[in-house]
Amino acid sequence: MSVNVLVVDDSDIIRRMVMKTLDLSRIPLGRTYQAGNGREALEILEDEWIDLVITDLNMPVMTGVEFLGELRTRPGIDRTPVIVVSTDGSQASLAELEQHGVVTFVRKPFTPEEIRDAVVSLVEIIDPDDHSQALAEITVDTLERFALMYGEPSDEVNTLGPGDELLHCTMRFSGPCSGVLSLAAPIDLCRTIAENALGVEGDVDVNAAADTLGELANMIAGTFNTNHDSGVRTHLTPPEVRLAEHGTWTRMAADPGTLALLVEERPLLVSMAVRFQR
Amino acid sequence: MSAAFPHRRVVGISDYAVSTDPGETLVTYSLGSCIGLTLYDPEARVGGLLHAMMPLSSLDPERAVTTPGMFTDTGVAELLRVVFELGARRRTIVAKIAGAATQVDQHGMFRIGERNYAVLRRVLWKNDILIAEQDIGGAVSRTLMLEMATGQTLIKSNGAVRVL
Repeated sequence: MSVNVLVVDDSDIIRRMVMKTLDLSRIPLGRTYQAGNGREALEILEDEWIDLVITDLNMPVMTGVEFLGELRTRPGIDRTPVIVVSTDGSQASLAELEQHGVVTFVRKPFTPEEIRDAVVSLVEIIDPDDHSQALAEITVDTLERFALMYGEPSDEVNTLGPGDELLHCTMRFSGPCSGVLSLAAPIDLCRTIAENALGVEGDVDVNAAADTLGELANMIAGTFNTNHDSGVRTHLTPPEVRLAEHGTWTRMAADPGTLALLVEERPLLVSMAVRFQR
Repeated sequence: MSAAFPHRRVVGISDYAVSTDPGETLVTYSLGSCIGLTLYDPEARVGGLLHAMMPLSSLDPERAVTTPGMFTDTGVAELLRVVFELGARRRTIVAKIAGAATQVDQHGMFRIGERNYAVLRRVLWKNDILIAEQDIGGAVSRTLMLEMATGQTLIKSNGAVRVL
């Protein structure tokens, strides 16, 4: 598993120092993102899967404390681990940060090694388990129950024709575990799933196909959370389904974390980033 | 036999050494305000040790040419150059440091231990290397060793040896 990191600081030089440190830290670094204030950070967090945030406190537009307050209210991203890097190390500030669930504080001026050690200590508790097996079983089971179709894990994901139109769906969820689930499939497969679910032949338009893919995501995410029930209420955000380019498919298929299924000769891609409540 | 009884190669003050021999241990004694650096690449099995005395070569550029290990800036650069030549790589190299004690003003320079430490960190940072472990400051004299058989860096201070 690789770790996606968002660095939030209004100082370009600090962001660059932290980015260089991340690069040298010998952690399984995935994608990195930068934001100049809390507002920009929230936008990135809503659009991308972030495993770890490293943020300053004193910033224009939206301060670090305002950002943390907002972050903790947003389902799906509310439990994102945060490292605060700031000059303000007063007891009052640290107590406030603790209330926002921040356990790791690095004082400016910092050494790169201090940032490295803070990142490593959090990366170790970000769940490194491989959920692909569970995800595959849930997806196959959901297809069987919902659409009476049979799917199996496969390496043959690049069986798309150039004319194949694609749908891509993402949804966030929180509860016993928080994360984001993405599905991608050719429209004709989504249509077939819809037809089988409804018990009809033909007569399914693209909107119904999109609705079906979203519902499939909804059921997979819901089942995953139910299987990890810990008494915490599950919150599923409505799935977002849109037409996708072939490039989206290629990128998703190239990610080693993506699960590829063959559903009655047609490919379906499933990927999930997840973290558990601790 | 050689691994069980490794040959000790002593690195003097203002000097450095490199090794690829698993039967060898590089060792330097009496690190006070001087700075000691071990570099080890566990993949290439290349190691090196430096014992630098003064922070910056600008103090005596001619001396820096003949004895680069005397100064932290030229010493680290030279040690890196030689271990890279022997096959070590930036991405896998492990850097550990010791020394930079604050007690002694043995060279008549203000805060020399701290300056050695700052310059060492500066040179490593510019070379894209983070410090894996360190044992610095205080008022102790340290012995620093790099055991080529295991790649372990060992510190001896106050009579006790420990793995850094």
